[in-house]
Amino acid sequence: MAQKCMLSGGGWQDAEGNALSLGSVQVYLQQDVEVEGVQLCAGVKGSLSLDSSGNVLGSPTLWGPIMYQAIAYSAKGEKAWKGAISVPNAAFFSLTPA
Amino acid sequence: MAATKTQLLGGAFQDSEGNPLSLGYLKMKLSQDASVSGVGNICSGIEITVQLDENGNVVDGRLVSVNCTGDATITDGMYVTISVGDVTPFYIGQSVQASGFTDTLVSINGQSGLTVYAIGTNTVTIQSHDLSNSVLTDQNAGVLTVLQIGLGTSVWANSVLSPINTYYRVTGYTAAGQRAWGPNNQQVAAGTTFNLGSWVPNSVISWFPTVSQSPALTVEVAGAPFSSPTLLDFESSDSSVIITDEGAGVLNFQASGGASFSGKGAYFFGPGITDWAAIGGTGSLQGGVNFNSSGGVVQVYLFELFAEFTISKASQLALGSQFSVHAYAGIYSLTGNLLVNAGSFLYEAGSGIQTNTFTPVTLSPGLYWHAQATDTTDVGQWVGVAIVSNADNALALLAQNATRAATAANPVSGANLPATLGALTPYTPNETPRGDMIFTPLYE
Repeated sequence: MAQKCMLSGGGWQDAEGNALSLGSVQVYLQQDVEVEGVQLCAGVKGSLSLDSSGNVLGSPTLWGPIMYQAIAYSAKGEKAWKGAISVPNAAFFSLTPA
Repeated sequence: MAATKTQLLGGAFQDSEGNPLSLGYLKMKLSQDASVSGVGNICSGIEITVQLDENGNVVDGRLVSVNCTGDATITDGMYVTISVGDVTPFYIGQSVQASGFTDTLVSINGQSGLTVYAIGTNTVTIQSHDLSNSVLTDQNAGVLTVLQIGLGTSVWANSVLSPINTYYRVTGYTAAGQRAWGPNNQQVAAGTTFNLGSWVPNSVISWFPTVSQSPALTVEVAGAPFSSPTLLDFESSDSSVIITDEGAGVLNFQASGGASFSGKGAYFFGPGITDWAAIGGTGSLQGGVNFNSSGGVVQVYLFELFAEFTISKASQLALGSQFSVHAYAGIYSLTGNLLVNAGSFLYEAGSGIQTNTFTPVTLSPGLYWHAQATDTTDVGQWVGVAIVSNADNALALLAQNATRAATAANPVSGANLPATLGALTPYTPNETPRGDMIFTPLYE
């Protein structure tokens, strides 16, 4: 059974260790998905805001278990990182690599 | 325990004359996004800058904090970094402003133009190059609170990054911004510090092949197990396929252009004639065709060889005799260089079939010039193709759009065909008034 998962962490930074302060992470689906009777639209992209430490700001939630595509941007809009976020079927999930 | 970054040191970047890349800088960009366990996601899209000092070494930062409510004295060997809030580090002479901050004017050794806007307990870091024995002056005394002197540059070592096989794309620049080094692919080894002087340009420190060894690769030929479990050698037994190891795991198969003939009776007449109908049928090669040409002038006919031939003999038969008259034959490349010198043939019927032997020559499929000459104008009867009157129209077509029959500028010299043809003057072979022929030695 799918559920919405609260995200935290991430620690996005450059190779020098400078946090992607106040940047953002765009998340989107590769294809439309139906979950718990809800249609998730791949054509609409979501955005997670980052705090001054490069961690997700607030308590955003995403449906899990679903694999999302993600692109991180610096505060200046510079494309900084591209990857996938695998949101588990759990109530909470840290985006900081284990 | 989470990994920590590695401070970069050294490098001694310099030009070929030994002049340091004084006050230059390096730009480093990670080859791909990566992660550090327990730390975070490392973004390859952001290029970082590494400052060099006056000796071309990475600025040797020292983590020294100076609490300062007034002036600060920078001692020998210290480097100073200035930034305000989230403003990118800047340099002497550059003014920045962080919103919400009020003015604090800072000067270094009296240099004007260095304006830092900071207030109260906000951290001010100062970045410049060697400011040994300088005095950092807070002209509005009391508001400059903290100096972090000489932060240097620390980066994530590639060995602590996941996945494996990441590297930095590094480019070195002069202080004026001229690209001076690289871009080269380099890695940073883990540790407290890493000396860039250990870099071999464009050579990584470690690289792990990612080819899976398990399960083992199964090789079959048409569904049957391959004959050897340990050796896979690509060969072409008849050389009809050229196999080339292109490197980096790429194997190239190229058709060699068709079959290859050498010995075993393989042959062609003159300009590549192997068709028995042309040799022995109606309208075939004829014995006793008059060799009409000017003495010493080399006539050439373009022909296409459709297969590779290796030849070492040329034979001809004189159908008449005249004292000390010779004919010559050979094959030239399309660009006019002599490839096959078939030698001279004496115009003496009593000699029977004359065979000249030469060093074997391999002719690849392609376009060539068949060459023929006689040393005496319009003398000789040989095996060949006689141009007949009803071929005139076809030969007129053959003269269109390209030169396919011509006389060469370079003549026979010393009883030998010339090494090169020189300029070609096209002509259209015909029966009248001259009665042209194509001299056809048997090549084998």
